[in-house]
Amino acid sequence: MAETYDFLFKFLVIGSAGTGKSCLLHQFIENKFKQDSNHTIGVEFGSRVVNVGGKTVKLQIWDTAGQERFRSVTRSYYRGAAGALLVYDITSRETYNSLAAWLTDARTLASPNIVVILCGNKKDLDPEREVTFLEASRFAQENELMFLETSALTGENVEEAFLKCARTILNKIDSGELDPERMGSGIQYGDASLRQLRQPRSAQAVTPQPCGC
Amino acid sequence: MAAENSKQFWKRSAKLPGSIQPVYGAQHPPLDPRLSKNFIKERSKVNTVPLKNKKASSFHEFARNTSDAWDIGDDEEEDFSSPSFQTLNSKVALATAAQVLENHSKLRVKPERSQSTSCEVPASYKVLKSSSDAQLSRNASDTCLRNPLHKQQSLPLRPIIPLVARISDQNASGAPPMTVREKTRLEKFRQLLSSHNTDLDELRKCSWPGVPREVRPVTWRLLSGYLPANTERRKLTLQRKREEYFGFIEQYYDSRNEEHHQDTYRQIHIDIPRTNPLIPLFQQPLVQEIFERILFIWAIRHPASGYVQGINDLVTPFFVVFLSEYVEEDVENFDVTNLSQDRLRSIEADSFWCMSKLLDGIQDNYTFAQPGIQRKVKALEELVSRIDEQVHNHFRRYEVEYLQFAFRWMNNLLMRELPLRCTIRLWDTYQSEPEGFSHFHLYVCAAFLIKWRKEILDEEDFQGLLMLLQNLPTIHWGNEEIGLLLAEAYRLKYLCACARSVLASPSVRVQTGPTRCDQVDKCPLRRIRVGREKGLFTSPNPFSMMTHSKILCVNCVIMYMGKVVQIYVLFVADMSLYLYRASRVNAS
Repeated sequence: MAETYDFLFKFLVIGSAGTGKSCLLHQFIENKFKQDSNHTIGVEFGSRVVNVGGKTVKLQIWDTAGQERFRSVTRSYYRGAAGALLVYDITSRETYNSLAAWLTDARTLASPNIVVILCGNKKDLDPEREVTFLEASRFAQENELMFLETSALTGENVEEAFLKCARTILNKIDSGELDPERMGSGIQYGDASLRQLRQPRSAQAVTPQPCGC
Repeated sequence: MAAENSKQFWKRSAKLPGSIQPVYGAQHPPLDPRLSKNFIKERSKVNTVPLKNKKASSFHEFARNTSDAWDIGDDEEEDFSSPSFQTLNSKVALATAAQVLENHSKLRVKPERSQSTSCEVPASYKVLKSSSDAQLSRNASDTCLRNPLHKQQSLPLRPIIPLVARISDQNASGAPPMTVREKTRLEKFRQLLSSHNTDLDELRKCSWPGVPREVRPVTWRLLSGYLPANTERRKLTLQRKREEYFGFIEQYYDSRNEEHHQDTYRQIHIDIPRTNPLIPLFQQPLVQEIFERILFIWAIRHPASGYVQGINDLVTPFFVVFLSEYVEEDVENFDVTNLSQDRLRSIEADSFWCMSKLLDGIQDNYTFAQPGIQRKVKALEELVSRIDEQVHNHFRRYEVEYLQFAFRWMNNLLMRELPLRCTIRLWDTYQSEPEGFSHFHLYVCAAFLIKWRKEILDEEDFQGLLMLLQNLPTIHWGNEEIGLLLAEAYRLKYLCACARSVLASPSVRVQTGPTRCDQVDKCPLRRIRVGREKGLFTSPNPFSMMTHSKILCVNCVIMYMGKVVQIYVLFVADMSLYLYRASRVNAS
């Protein structure tokens, strides 16, 4: 028995090793911190249905391994991703420094239109901070990314990060900027939307709304 | 009586058509192909003539009875209980029994001949059981095997022991109680290990079904090739190797903070606390330092791969096993500060060397782009498509790719999927199998996947399937489950080895007509016609209509049929099993 949903979005969680990608996903799906987290091998999968702006959206999330050696495998999951959480660790400058490389990967391998939200994780470890909020938000601005500082431990901003990303994608669909029917868009209609939403969507396409971001 | 029994047999064995069946006899060390040639000749000479007619008629009968096997809507239950199947199977059963007994008595006389080729060990599960039973009976005297079935010889009449109730059944069948058997097994190990020159082949054979805890450390050192077989050289070798390892530490370990090694060390350093996070032993700083040293030294000595996440897991079984040499109980909670510096150093060095030996065999799993893993995942897909089409098609239907779940199975050798105690048991066998970690592991993965076929087929969307496959419920697993898994893997391995030799065998003619050229790549087995010239088969070729997963099974046995007649009977038996599955697939 499949749940009904309006859209299915394919999401990625990317970033250097040990930044807390799996813990973010776990917090988002299970609503708790994963104490005994083991490093991810290759890619792991999670899924959750959320409500965004009156629409039911199923998020299909691929949590990737951070280690360089796995890139040949993880890269194959980039294709057709609609959104991505780009994660660094605010207590590790090194993970921040590699953001540009991750971003290039996402935009070239997934889609230039991929909606990316930058997540400065481990916000709860503020005393050990190596990357300021200001410089990260500047980086985000320069690269047209949304930005949040998150804590997989306390759950702060975790849900927001995923929802914000989903909301932006929905806005782009509404505005016609993203076409769910294009191959590799990372977006699929759910059963509900296939029946009801096709008509309104093409009607909206005639009068595009300004993008929300 | 016999007909009655064989009917029972089919009912039991085909309870879940197409599913993997337990193969108890397969818990035997692999057979040595080198010793087989004479044996085959001998057997075929003796057996071919008298059985020929009988078999041919069995086949015709079989062909008649199964001509409707492809009809849509075929009912599975009726299929098996039909009277024709009963007749057929009674013949099968009797012939098999006679054969097994005869072989068995031969084996008794010439135990050194008891080894047979890979293809001699038949592919169908029933075949396998019978032939390895002969082996088991031989070995019963040295009680090297734990198999509870070794007392029984008349195979077709033997009840199949259900998976869950295996231990109680052992007692019910009058087998000696666990402790006695284990004692004898242990004695056998002690004997082998203390002899002047340990017979490594024999040690592998004994270790295949599991190594007793007491002798596991030294057995593993021997099996991995770290310790020499000669007892006199062992002490010196150990001493030299341990010194060599600590020499590396002295020489290289300080370089971990240098720029060119920084990344490696940093990665190891953040992974170690995440290794076995649920086991207290591995949270101790002393243990974590040991792991860091082992992994760092290995990584910089193997620059082609370097350190790859997952390799850290591979140290664990060695560390635990070598530690268990000094710890009586509850290794997982042991405080290592209670151990002397010397002993800790020995454990560390031995773990390093044994892990290195293991990794030597699978290094291409960890080199750039991880070609070893890519290859094995493809091989797994290929294998599953042949042995369980239904599961394979189910994955395709819901767009599940093998790489999505099996990458980790290969990268971490199933360590993430199994409790540590199971991995240790698994490695008893991997170290006893030729190319255990690099090759046999593939069959274990296939068996592991098929083990969950029911759960897999119950899931009806991509999400559900992926969630199931990355969280398979093995938490309660123990030796029993691993034993069955290994038995099944062993069966699959021989199935494939046999299929390959069929293709290579000169007695097999491969049709190359242009009409079905498009299928060559997909399934070369499809066009094989075997034995027609010998008048065993009617034309048209009854196999031409089958899909390749069935052909695979059939061919294994055909190959025997060309040489060893006894197998022909079993081929029929096996074929009916597979035909039955096919009709079921067609019907759905």
